[in-house]
Amino acid sequence: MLSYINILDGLYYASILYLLSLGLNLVFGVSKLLNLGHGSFYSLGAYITAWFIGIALSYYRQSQALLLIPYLGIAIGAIAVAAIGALLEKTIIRFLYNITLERQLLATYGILLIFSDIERMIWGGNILSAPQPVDLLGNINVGGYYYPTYYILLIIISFSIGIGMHLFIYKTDIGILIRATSYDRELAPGLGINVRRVSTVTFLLSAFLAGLAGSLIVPITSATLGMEIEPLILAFIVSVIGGLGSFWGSLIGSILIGELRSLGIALFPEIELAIVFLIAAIVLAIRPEGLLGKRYGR
Amino acid sequence: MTSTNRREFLKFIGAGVIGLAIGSAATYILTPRGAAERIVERTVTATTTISTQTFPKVTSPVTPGIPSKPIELIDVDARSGPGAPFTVPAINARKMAIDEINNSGGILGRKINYREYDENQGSPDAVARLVRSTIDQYKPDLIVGLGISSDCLAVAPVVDELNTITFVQCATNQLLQGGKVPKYKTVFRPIGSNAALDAVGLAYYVAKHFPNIKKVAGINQDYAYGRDEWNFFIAALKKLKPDIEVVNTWWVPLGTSDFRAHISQIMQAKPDLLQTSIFGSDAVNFMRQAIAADLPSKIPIAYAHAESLLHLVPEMPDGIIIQAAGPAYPLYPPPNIYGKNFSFVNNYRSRYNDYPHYSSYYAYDSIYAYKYAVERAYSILGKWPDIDDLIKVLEELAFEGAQGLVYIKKDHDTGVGSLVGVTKRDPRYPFVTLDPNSIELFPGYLVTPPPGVSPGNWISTW
Repeated sequence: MLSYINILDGLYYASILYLLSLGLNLVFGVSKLLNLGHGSFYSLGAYITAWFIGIALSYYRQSQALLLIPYLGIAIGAIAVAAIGALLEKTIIRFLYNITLERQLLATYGILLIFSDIERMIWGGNILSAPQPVDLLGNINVGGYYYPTYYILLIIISFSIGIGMHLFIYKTDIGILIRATSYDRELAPGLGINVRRVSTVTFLLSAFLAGLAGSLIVPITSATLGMEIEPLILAFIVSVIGGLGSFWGSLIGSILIGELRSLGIALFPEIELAIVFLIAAIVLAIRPEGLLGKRYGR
Repeated sequence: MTSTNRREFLKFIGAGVIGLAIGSAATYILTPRGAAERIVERTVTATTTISTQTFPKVTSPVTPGIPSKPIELIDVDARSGPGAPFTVPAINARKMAIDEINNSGGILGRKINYREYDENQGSPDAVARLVRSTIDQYKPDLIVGLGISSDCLAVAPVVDELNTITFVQCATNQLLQGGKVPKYKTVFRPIGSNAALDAVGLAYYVAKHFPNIKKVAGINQDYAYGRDEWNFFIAALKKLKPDIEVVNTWWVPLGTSDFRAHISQIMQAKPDLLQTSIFGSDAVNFMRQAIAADLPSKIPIAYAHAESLLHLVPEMPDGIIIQAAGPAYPLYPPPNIYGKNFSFVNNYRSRYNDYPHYSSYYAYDSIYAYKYAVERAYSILGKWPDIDDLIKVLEELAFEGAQGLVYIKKDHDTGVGSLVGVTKRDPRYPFVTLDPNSIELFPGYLVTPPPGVSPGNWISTW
């Protein structure tokens, strides 16, 4: 059974994948780094936000702050992860830019495992939930179906941030430096560009986007150990389909995967996961560089 | 590919050496001593809200026929990963039982040495290797835990080969039911939790209390337990209500965290009843997202194996049919009537500042099952039983546990009932309760196949 609700469901899922794959593509486009540790930023954003909201609401349950705390938590989660990302880039990631792809994958997978253990040390095996934003906003009637308002808000925020990032890259001086570095990393220093600083800024933005995705999703999906694996895999598929390093590829790829997953659940519930991988395989067979792979990057 | 000159090469080597040094130092500093294994010996004074119980300190007597060395117990249970929220309450209760036994003199004077390991090893084979190495190293008298079905299936042949008594806590029917009796000589499941027991109890309840439903849908996880749960439920329900029609089934991959699209489909299909058995942290996400979409107010939900959700989703609305994953929860058997549940809940609360989950009952009772079996064997033989003697006693053991009457069957599974009720909030409790007027306990003989018969074949003969 199909309806416009399925389209909305697909868009909602796509919005999270968009933020995640945008960060992946940003770093790959500029630094040619495939970062599996990107998933850790997603789970860290979720944990920090849920943890903050839980603590803050235990102190300010009876005040006006009730309406602000969840959104403050989302902002704090994303900003904290961006700071962690910058620190990580300065200490570890910078050594990974010029090594081979398989070593990058191994090293960044190690980072993913380390962060997973850090999360376990700090928050244990507990499930951290922060359903307050969803509860506070309630539902809106979409053609006879009750649809949670927070989901609509999440779609708007995600795509707005994504478009904002796009404008930042294309309309600001820093953005021009980032694009120049992504076009030719070897030539950029010759033009006076501080490639190391550009790489740090890019990685910080990437971590911010993934952290924001985690912070936005935690009111819907509780923070748990291993929560990053499924979205990380799908974000990689989005990046590969759209074209690694491509901004527009992230947008097109995430909407394609989000909608396909939603339609797959509606029409072929037995093989919902297989459909996504099948489409990825078909796209790669026809265009190995992805749908918009040549537009950007290599 | 850029060429690497000598200076760069040396820089990389230097960075690697420094990194290794820092990593080693950090690991040394951050690792708690004895993290891989801990021998736990505690003294517990359990102060309950009602009464105070102080376990008397008893010095270990040297009794003829009793070895002087402690009992070696290995606990392999999920301390991390998606299963952890569901197994930590079991680990807590197990430690409580061990401390109670140790503080009252041990089992026939032998204290229990407790060693704990994380079941979250990445694969069933890795868990089997871990179990093999712990058996080689410590020659344990008892292994407990193993809550993941695939791990159970991998470990069972290993402990059988190495002749080590193991009390598992997983729910797969493939482990013990159907075929040879018993399937594994040394493997027991002294818990009332498996897909058939959950599903059949739920089907009985739905057939009895929801006579007007026609269209049924199901959403379950796409692995053995989820498939079994749905197949047994619908097979049993069709036997009890032949006019049932299945409108749709959804199979979600394990680890799915987002159910928005599934919930839309369920609401569009408009079944009279939705059955589910989604387990683990996925269950919390599914329930929360269903509540956000107002699904429970539109479609009745029959949820199998869901007692933990009463604790983990405190905003769960009234009216959801919950099969409690066995015969007990903190308010059943009624603590004001059944003292063992009363004291168990009180002791657990005073120790952990929380209420026990369903898994706590199994873990606690399984330690006592071992104690009672050893004591019974000793009373017959006059010596500490060897493994074969202990197995003979275990195969006909019955005792009153925290969850009520527990008896172990010839196939090494347990005959207990299946508790089903409907949620109803009670402001006196921090967890969601089951309406006392709605609770039904379907006895073991109604929800468990006879030894040697698979649940599917058993239901087909009804």
